[in-house]
Amino acid sequence: MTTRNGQFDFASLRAKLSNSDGQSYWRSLDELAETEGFQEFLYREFPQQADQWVDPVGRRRFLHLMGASLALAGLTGCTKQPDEPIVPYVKAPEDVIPGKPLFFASAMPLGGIAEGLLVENHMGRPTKVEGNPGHPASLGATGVLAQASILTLYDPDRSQTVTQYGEIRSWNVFLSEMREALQRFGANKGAGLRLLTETVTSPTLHEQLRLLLAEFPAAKWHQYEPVNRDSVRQGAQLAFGTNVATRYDLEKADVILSLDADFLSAGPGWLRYTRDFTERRKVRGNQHEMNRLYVVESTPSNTGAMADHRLPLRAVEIEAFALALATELGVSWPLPASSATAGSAWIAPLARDLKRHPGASLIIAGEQQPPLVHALAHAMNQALGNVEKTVIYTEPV
Amino acid sequence: MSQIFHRSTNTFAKLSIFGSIFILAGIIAVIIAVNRSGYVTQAGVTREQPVPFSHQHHVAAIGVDCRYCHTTVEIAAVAGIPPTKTCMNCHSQIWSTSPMLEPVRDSYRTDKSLRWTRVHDLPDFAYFDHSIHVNKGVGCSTCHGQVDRMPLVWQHASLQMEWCLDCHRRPEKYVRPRDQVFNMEYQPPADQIALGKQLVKEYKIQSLTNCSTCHR
Repeated sequence: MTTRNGQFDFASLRAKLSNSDGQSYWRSLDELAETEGFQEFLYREFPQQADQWVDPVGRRRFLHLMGASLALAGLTGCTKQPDEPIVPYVKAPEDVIPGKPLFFASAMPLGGIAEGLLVENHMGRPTKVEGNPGHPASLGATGVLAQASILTLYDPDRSQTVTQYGEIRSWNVFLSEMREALQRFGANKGAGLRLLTETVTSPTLHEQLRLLLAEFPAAKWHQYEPVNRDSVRQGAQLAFGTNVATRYDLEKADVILSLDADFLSAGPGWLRYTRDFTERRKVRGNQHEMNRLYVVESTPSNTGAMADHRLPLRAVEIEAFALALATELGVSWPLPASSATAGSAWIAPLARDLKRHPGASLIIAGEQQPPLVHALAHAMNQALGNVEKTVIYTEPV
Repeated sequence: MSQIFHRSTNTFAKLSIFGSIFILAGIIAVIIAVNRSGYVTQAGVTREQPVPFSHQHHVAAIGVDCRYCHTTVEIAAVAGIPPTKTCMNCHSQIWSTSPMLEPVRDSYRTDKSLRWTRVHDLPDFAYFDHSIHVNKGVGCSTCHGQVDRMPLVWQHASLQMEWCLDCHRRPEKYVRPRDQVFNMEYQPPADQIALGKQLVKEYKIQSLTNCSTCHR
């Protein structure tokens, strides 16, 4: 009933179906057409001529042997416990109590922003990473990356020694090679010497690098992050003429607008923000009002899922949206706002709600948004009187 | 045809039928006795150690406290076997050339641990925590015997489950005041049960006989 090239011959299939009467079931067109491939498949699924274990002597013998080995295996339990050695330390490390975990306060920097951690340690082996309850940016919480970071400590690909051209070298070899190399740069004040690091916010490392650069004034230091916060910095530059670090106090915010900012699952301080945000979501005691969250975003995110009002916009449209909102809020900005922006129905009610809560509203711009959105967010927070209340500016780190 | 067996065999046959119950009981009694003997439980068997460390000398003669070496007995599940450093605290000064102590000095020099033989070896399926027992007024010598009289340590008790349960069912039979826990010479007073009942109340000792208390 199939044509030569394996296609179904629907006309003959229909004819066959119309001729059959009563209940004749079929589960696929293959079965109905009785193709060769289907017959082969059926044979393999239920192999009628497959070997069965019909040899009675062989089967009995097999059961005998199995029974005997099981019984004998039980006999091995009837021995005395073997002697067990106790191998104590030669010089016991301080504070280690066998059987009790030791907790170390640590931090995990990601993009230069550290997350406070407590690492559980059993006799020298780290076993679990949790948030440090004493750390203001963690309060005992961690994110997925910090939780998973325990695995990197046991990563077999992690370098255990100094290597050179794939060969294991001692630390001393590294030091002497390095000294030699640095001496070559000593003559020309480090011209041609380049340092490549990730974002460094550690004051200690920064000072060490500063001292190195003071010795080699012509050397250059490059910091690079594949996913960086450049537009945040440029936005601050645009708004204030200088870089600032921005922190938010979500406990004081009644109305929050996120411009593509996933501040509940990523970014600096998100663990603390999540805690503060949910604290204002609880109606208990003498707290009868919840905060309100507006999210304008381009990708579904945790923050969007928590939003009271969520507006999906394309990433490029958010800049125009922010500009229109800023104009509505009375921020004077050199760029004119176009009236026909996407989501324009939101502008007037949103501005009204924000204006109703001066000093208790908050506008957060997403890190991936262009500098202009950040600058507008700064300007709007300023216009709403949020600075020093829900928005705190500090020296850049 | 003459009879194969003598007439007296009848008596033997009757006796053995009657006696089979006693023979069976005897076999069971022997099995029970063997199971509780030192041959199986290792109680009372002195174990050989790399260094013939004498508790009798160090505890009774010199007066070293249990906790000088077994440092974690009050805070952790294991009492703790001292590091070689603890031995060398004294033995770098005294008996510093004794051939008996050569393994200790060797361990200290080469940074290789001494390998002691475990004397009290609970099965791995039983959980035991020293700290809770010590803090609830179970003395060292209640379980370990008078270690200060052992030149080489042997296991004092059977460490069998019935032995554990004996105290877990009726703790008042064994508890002592907390300040006497490390006293090796402590003898229970005549009114132990009355004192025990009072201590059980005061220390809030529970009679934990749930399976999962020890078999976790």
